Amino acid sequence: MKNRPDAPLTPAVLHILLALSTEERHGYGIMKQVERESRGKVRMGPGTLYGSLGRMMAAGLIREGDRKLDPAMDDERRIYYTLTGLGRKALQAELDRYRDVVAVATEKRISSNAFADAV
Amino acid sequence: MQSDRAIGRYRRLYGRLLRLYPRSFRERFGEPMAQTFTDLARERSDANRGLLGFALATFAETSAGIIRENLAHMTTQPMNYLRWVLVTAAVLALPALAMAFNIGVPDPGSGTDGVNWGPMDFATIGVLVLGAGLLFEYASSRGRSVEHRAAVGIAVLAGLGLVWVNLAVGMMDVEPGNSMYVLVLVVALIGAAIGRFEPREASIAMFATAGAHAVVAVIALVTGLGPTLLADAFFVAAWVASGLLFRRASVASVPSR
Repeated sequence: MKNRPDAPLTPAVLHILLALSTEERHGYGIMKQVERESRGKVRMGPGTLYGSLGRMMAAGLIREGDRKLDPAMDDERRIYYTLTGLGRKALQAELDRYRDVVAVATEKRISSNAFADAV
Repeated sequence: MQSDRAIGRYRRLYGRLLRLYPRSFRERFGEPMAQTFTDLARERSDANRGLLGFALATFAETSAGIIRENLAHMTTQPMNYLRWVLVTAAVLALPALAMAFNIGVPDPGSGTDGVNWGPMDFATIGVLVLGAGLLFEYASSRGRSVEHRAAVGIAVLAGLGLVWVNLAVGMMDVEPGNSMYVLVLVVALIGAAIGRFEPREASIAMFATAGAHAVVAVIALVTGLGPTLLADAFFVAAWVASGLLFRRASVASVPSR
């Protein structure tokens, strides 16, 4: 993963950045947020999530925040992850790419079920 | 209450699995991953859903992550592994050059003139040296102290030496006796692998290996297989030295999370 904000992102990284775009979250919080935002279509296991978090930290997209209690879970102190400036730019660039693609599809009048009959 | 016990049991097993991650990854994410596993298990339990299927699926998913991270770890430190390829090439170059330039001590007994290796000889020694080097890199990455690296080095050299001596001349006069040394290597490898090459577990494995080696030597002595007691004593001392160094490394190391 390069430290360029305009480099394309993997689906897992995109979903994690989206989950962290509104507030800092711990690992389980990220998983649940990704699941909610994808309407249950994207479910990450711990191996995928923390592997992605490690690579994202190395690329400077996110950073570890404080270790603190989650008021909703009140058991153990947890490490929270937060977006960096580079992470926000990378998310913005990826969303712009998606918007461009959707704009092209709209221009071509391709609807969401246009290929429903295709084999 | 019963589900709490089951969750605790699965978390302990999951913690053991996490020890297979590269050290740097484990130290950073081991605890958060175990926490997340517990959160997911509680969520399942609160929804009155079984834990076994969840645990198996998560263990499988995490195992894939372990393979991925270990491969990534190897490719981020290619020089550590590449140097063993070069060492192996250098070791194999010696007999190759000796054969090319007809250098060596003529051996009328075997009918050969100097060094005369076949393809199988090169393949066997290549696999042995490269395997020992890669094993050293992997096992020594499980600890961070000089004692740990020294312990791994001694154990790997002892294992390599034992195989080499047995392939070359044999530790005993009678062939079936030499096969018993395979058991010594099995004890060393399986013992250290079960303990994931962590210092404390590897220490126990090395002491067990020393014991197994001593037992083999005694059996050979009693049954008249003609053991080479001096060589056996050397190898037993090497296993014990490795075990002691592993123990020192385990005492000195910070408890892993």
